[in-house]
Amino acid sequence: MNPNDLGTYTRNTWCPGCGNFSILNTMKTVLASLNDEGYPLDKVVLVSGIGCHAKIVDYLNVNSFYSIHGRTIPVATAIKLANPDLTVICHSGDGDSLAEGLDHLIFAAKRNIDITLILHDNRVYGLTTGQYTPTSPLGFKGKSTPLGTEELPMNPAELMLVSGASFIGRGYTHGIDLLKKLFKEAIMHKGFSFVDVLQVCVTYFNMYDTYNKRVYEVKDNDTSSFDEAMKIVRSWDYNSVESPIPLGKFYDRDLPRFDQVFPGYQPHKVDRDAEIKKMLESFI
Amino acid sequence: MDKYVCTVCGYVYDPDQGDPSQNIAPGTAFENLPDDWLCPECGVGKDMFKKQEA
Repeated sequence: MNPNDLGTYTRNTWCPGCGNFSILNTMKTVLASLNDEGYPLDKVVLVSGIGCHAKIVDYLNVNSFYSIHGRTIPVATAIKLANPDLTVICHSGDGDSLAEGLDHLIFAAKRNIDITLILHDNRVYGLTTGQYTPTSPLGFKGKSTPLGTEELPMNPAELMLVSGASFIGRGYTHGIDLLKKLFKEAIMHKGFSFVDVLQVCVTYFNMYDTYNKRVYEVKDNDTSSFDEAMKIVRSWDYNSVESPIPLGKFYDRDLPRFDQVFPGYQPHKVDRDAEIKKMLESFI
Repeated sequence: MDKYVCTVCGYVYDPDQGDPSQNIAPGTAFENLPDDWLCPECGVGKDMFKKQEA
């Protein structure tokens, strides 16, 4: 399949220079490759929240649900439980999943439900023109903090590790080959997969120069070791201006999943037409 | 064939690789990319690329 066949006619309104293009092109390539390997794309559902990231579901021609702010995970969880045969992929932003929807994110990791979350982590609220988010560095000057923030940033990879996520990785939008590898592995992983993508917002928090100097890919790490993963994710705290920034797959374990043990749950097949008729008749 | 660098994000267009994400075949010179081709990593146009120094 040509990845371009997964595009849509919707006009792209991301700023030129935005890292979201990289995530879009990565996802197109990965989905096309899954299709070529015999994986039916009608079994894929994308779920987005609210923010610049969310437009991605308008630009990809697969099943999708454009949800509300911070609620990608509850929607995705419901879709997965209702139809476990589906592959559910959430696109969410740092404001979306680390602020408004943080509780849902932690519980998805705690339950290890078999969905994937791609975090478009630009470390700023871009759609609302430049306010600080939970991953903005200390002292970040934005429209809501003209004198600079007085809080240290959150470390989402560390948070996901201690919360129970069974797949954790980090990519960078200038690094599309690694992103492809991470996205594909995360999607195929059984359990909650979290991929933190350092996605540059060229307009409100341009980190290209900084990231280009500091990122490196971890190699030969033991992805089954919690302690080793913890050491890697804590080696950069999202605030230091000197630490190297590790990218790659940090953690990958096969652990019990919520969708396997949801109490008493039995996916049932219903006569869809009859159910719709019954519902419509109830309104007459 | 020359490699070209995106002056915004640092992406390097390598003609030996092409751009699979936009169905550009390996062996396509930068000059022969379609006019509407965009940097796959940040979405800027060809005018924002410069030839990579040897």
